[in-house]
Amino acid sequence: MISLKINKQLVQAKPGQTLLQVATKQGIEIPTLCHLPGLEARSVCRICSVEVKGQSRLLPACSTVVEPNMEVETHSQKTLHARQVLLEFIIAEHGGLATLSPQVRAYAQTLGVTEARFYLQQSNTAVRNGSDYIRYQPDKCIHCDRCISACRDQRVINRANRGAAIRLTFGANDTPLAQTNCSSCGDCVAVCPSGALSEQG
Amino acid sequence: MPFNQPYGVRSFYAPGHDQGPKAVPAIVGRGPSSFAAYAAAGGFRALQRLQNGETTPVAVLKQILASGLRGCGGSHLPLVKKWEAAIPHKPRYLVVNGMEGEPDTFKDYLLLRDYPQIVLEGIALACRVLHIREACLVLNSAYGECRAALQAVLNENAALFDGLDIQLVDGPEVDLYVAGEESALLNYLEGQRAEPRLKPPFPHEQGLWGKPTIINNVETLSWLPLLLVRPELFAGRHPKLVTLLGDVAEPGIYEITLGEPLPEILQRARADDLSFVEIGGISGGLIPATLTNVDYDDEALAPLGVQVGSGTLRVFNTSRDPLAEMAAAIAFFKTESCGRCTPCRVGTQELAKFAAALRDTPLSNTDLNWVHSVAHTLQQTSTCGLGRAAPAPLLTWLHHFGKKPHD
Ligand code: SF4
Ligand code: SF4
Ligand code: SF4
Ligand code: FES
Repeated sequence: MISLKINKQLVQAKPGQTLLQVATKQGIEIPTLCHLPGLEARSVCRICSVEVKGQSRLLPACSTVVEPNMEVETHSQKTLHARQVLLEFIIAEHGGLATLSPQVRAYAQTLGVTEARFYLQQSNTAVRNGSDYIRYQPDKCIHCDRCISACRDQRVINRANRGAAIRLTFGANDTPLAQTNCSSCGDCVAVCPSGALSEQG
Repeated sequence: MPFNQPYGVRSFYAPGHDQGPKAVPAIVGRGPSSFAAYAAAGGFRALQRLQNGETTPVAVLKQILASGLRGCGGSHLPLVKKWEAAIPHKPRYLVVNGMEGEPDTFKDYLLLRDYPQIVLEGIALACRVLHIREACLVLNSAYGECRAALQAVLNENAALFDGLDIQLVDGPEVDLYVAGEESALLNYLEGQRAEPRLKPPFPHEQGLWGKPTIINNVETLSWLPLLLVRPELFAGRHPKLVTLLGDVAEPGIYEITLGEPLPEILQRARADDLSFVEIGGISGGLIPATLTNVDYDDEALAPLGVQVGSGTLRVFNTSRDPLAEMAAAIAFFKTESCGRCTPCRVGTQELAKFAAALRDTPLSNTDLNWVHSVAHTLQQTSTCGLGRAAPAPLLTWLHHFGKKPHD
């Protein structure tokens, strides 16, 4: 067993556990957005950022593994502030809270964020449609990477472009799903928290 | 080491993109150069000593670790830290980063072009003392002209490189800043999208193909033969190549000593009309001429909000506008963000909006607080160095050139 301190409380953890797992077991709620138990943690949203003594930066609780004698703060001023700004980023990227899924809106509510201070223009709204079994709406996507993790074996889904033009592609060059390894398992749709992926009837 | 990497880069561009490779101006080395002297004397001295049994890998490793040599790719962390962390993991691969993605930076290019033998001697020395057999040197695709000479050195000195598999690998066909990040480079080499990996695990734990890997910059390794043959170069001092460009009469690559007064360095290139200077490359910051009377090392530069970084110094004369230069730097980060993590993907867009608006909008305290919140979030939560460094040009501009906010 490993001993560490979370919010000044001494706790025990098994080697290999993440800070998120240990905190959750202690009844400490750290908000998460991209993380989903059972999927490889890609730690892209950073909503779960926590403060670890001796580290110059905040660390993502969903992928940071416990170490002996760590001292962790999950709800310090610094972490709350970063989470709020990050959530505003996600809202801003979508031109407001309304287009986000109920799940994401609920997260926002727990942090008391109702709108972003600045609004960015979401530039990429091309919908992937056609004859495919899966529909992708970039304007809803929060780039949580869950679908990429879920499709890990087939590796059909990947990111394309950069910066503001970022979007997902299926196959290396947006090939129709029928020409990729897609097994139509629907896992990507099942894990998507934003409604960006959906099955077509 | 098989390499197969077309997708790793093409995924970053929309179809029909017009991005080309890095533009390389005519670059010359100027002033006294330890590399030139060593090359003129024939070079290979350090490697030969090891080969002849005049010294042992253990003794050479000790000498290197004791030298104080720092990573010259931009981190400036002592090499000893990286290597000592890696050695217990028994590194399998050495990846030599010759991407030099930093704009306006050409020191690695100069080494690859003019001193290919020293570059390779440094790589071979590192392999020998770290017991690594497989190495690859990733060359920026704009530096393709250096390839033939590098390959010739390997072919013509087979005995010195005996038992080592050193491959020359072409970097992305187009200029892709983020691919120079060490873990992104590993993804590129594996044929995946060249975006940074989550750390930990660090490359020295799980690097190329999941095996412990050491990644070093071209300049860092090029200093190895010199520090072994001429230890006085590193006796209480640290030499460094700087790229000195912009509004100067004699632009080029200069060998300087860290801690030298900055005005003397700038004067070597004859910066006669100096209004402000960008210190530390695009992720550094703009410093007005009145504040340049400092020593050129991280300690003395820190209070100004900049670092030595990649060793790039870009001089601007009185006809230049610092606000426009700063906005261009911020726009660069916005474009180059790989988009993987929320803070950097959105934060760089927000900073760019702010930088562009500064021209005609007077600054309010609310604006200022928000931009500091954005900057802080980027620095604290971004996955890689690109996002962490992105706010620096704006923050240093606000500090040195910004007007007091109203309200
Ligand atoms: S349906 Fe299954 S195989 Fe197809 S893209 Fe989604 S997760 Fe991958
Ligand atoms: S499509 Fe859905 S699951 Fe995939 S990255 Fe976007 S929001 Fe996340
Ligand atoms: S900080 Fe920026 S460049 Fe680095 S991984 Fe995140 S999005 Fe990509
Ligand atoms: S939940 Fe941990 S980074 Fe997204």
